[in-house]
Amino acid sequence: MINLLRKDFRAGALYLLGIVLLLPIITILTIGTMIDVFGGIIMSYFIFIPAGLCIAASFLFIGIDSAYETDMTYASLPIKRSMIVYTRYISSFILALSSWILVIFTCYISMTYLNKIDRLLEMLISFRGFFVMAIFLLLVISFLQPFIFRFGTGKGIIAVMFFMFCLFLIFQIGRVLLRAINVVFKLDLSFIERFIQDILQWMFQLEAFEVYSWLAGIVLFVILMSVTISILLYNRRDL
Amino acid sequence: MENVLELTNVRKNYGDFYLQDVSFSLQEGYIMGLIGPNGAGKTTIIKLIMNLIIKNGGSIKIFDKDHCKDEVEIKSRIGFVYDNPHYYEHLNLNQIKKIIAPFYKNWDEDMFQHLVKKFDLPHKKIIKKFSRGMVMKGAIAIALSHHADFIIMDEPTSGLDPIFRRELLDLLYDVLQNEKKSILFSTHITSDIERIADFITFILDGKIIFSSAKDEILENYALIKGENALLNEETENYCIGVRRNSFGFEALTNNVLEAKAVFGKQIVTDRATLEDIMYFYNARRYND
Amino acid sequence: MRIIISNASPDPIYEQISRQIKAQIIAGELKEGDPLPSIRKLAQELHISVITTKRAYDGLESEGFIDTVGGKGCFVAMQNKELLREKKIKTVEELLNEAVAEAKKFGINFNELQNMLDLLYNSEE
Repeated sequence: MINLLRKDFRAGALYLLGIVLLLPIITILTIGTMIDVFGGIIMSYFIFIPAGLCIAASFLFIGIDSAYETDMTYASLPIKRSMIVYTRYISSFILALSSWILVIFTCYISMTYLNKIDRLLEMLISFRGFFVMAIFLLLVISFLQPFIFRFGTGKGIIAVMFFMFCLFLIFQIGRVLLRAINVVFKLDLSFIERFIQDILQWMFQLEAFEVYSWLAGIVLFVILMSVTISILLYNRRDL
Repeated sequence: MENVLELTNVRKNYGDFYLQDVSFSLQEGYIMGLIGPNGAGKTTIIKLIMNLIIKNGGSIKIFDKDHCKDEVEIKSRIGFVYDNPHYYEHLNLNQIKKIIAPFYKNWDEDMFQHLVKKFDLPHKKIIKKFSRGMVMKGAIAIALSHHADFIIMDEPTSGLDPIFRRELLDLLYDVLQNEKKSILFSTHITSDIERIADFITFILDGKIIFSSAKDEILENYALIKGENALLNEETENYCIGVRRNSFGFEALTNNVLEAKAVFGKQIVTDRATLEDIMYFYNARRYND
Repeated sequence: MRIIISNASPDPIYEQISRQIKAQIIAGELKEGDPLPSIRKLAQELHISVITTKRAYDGLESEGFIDTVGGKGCFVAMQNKELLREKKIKTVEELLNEAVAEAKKFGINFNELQNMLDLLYNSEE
């Protein structure tokens, strides 16, 4: 395992350097632009630019392996494919969290020395903010990984986008269906929608340590599922 | 005598290509040539052996162990060379070695350096700047540097000059001095393997045509040449593939005596090379 | 030990090897107890396959010309003086047989043949 992790850093050293330099710059630019143009940080956009970049960065090593098609080479070495899966998850988590810490550090610098103050930035820098963001990153990566393992990076991304699109459609159709049932059968099924909204609201009101543990538990469960699925998929994949 | 490799009824569906009931084995201490035209299934078989692609049926045993269940143990004793080795092109040979070597318990750094020197490979040049021949040599150096008991090579010489091909054969002879080492070598350049191979497995269109000792094959097969007039529906049945030109015909037989009996004394028989055998079996495929 | 293989020869390679080794043993160039190269070494030197050399050696062993000592290799076997002489006689007999056949084919009669033999045998002193 150590060898596999080490090889990633050996192969991607230069690219890592690029990220270490690029990420803070982009973050500062984003913060500056948002504050100057919009008057404040808009979370839904901030999710994409620095956070999205962290997710992209987490797939750096996988991307390198894919670009040079070294999958075959590694699959021929005396290592189990499941080991390859584990190390990929670990390295992508490490990359994602480290990049995010770099982003937070940049936010801190922006607030303290560049005077770009914003309430949302303050929230991100807090422990709570970091925890939520970490959960978010790990969840997204866990969601993406099985697709990458099954289809490779290129087709994998497309598969993910297609899946998201289908999910989006299902939600919209679901909502319309609920309304329709409501109208046609005079059944009030809107409680389902309210229930979902309640959960979402509950999630955004993190207070107790208990809730943190719940979330951590859920994330661990999701990661476990994801890893299991990835191993199953990768073991069956023709390289 | 243990079989280092044993394939039994291996099947693989690949969309429009099928590998059907592939069975053959290789005894420990010998070298087998896996021959066949491009697209016949050689690479598929090798990838199946290495578990890079998943078989649809049958069993594959290496060192008498299942190639899936004991994959890690088996692969630590296998040196492999693919027809297109994939390495990080932005790294140099030394760096790549540093990545791969730790995975092998028996890595022999002295051996590696010796081979790199012998092949005249640069340590610091990045792989992107390597010629194809150099990449192959690098792959071969790596494959032979961890005391592997079984060397598997998929078209290691295609695209390489004849001088290096001979050098590679010399290397293989060195390996074979140890009677515990075995080699599987797939190629469509049969002259490479004609002399050194102990066994030959010939695959065509996903099916094994034969798998036997090379000496036996070359003794049983022969080319027969004669006048076109000698060919008719009946006599053609005794030939494997026929090639006609305006001056006569040429055909392959796997039973010289029978052919002589059927065609009579007006034919000339000649030694068949592995290439001839491949050619005529392929020709038969189109004539059927 | 000398071994020269010809690809053009109609004889299979293992036979060429056997024959040449046999001849050298009979001629006394290879003596009892002389070690022979291992089958793998021989294959490497001659650039042929191991199975071919193995076949050559197997043939020689079954005819009693060589012995395999487990773990040590192959050696020229103890040649029974009588048997050796017999083998030598047989070799010459075979050659003479060929000469007789050719002579008959070309219509050379026994007397002419005898004279030829006389000349050839006695000329080289």
